[in-house]
Amino acid sequence: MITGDAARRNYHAAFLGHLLHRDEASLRTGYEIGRRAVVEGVSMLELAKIHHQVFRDVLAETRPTELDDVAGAASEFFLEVLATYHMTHQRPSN
Amino acid sequence: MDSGPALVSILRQGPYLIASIHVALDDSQLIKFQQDLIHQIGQYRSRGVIIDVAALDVLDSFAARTLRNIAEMARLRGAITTIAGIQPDVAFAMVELGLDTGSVHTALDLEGALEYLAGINHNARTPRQRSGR
Repeated sequence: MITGDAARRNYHAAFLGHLLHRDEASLRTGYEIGRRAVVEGVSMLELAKIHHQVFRDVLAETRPTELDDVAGAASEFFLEVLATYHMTHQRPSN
Repeated sequence: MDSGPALVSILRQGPYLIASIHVALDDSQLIKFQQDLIHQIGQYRSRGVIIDVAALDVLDSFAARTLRNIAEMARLRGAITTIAGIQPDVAFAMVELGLDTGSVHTALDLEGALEYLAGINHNARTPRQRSGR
């Protein structure tokens, strides 16, 4: 995953895919984005910024009756994106 | 976003409608999908339509023809259609069976389809340079 416009386009398409499907496969795409970002040294803040920009763009085109649904989908997608970061920051027990 | 029985989803994003077919549809479901999509193009004044078929592992002759029909009807309603996510096995079978999507644009995935429509809309907005005589 590279940063900048290409990363945003990639994230945008993946998030729209999740809005359409809302299944394990679309969540896995989110997980893979996060995993690649960790491998390529993209910071969590940079990824959060991309998520925020995409989320804001999608919300701007969302009907009021669907806002809750989209916000829920964004939350579950972003948690998957951050899963690898979480794993890398967990301290081993014992 | 259409939250029906999850056979298909139609999501509106800006000037585009993004439709995803989740399961193989029978003929009457395909016709209903076609009608819904064409209706929504007018309702939302959409300029582009993406039909995501990534979840399909089979595309029969009626489905292929319906996709071509949707693209033509959408064009008549002022929207450009692109089909995204045809799986390798589906592409192989379509070629073997002589099925095709006609002149309808296809893209590898949703990202490719969005890029294509963005490019088309960008070109449409950019005024042509006139050559003086």
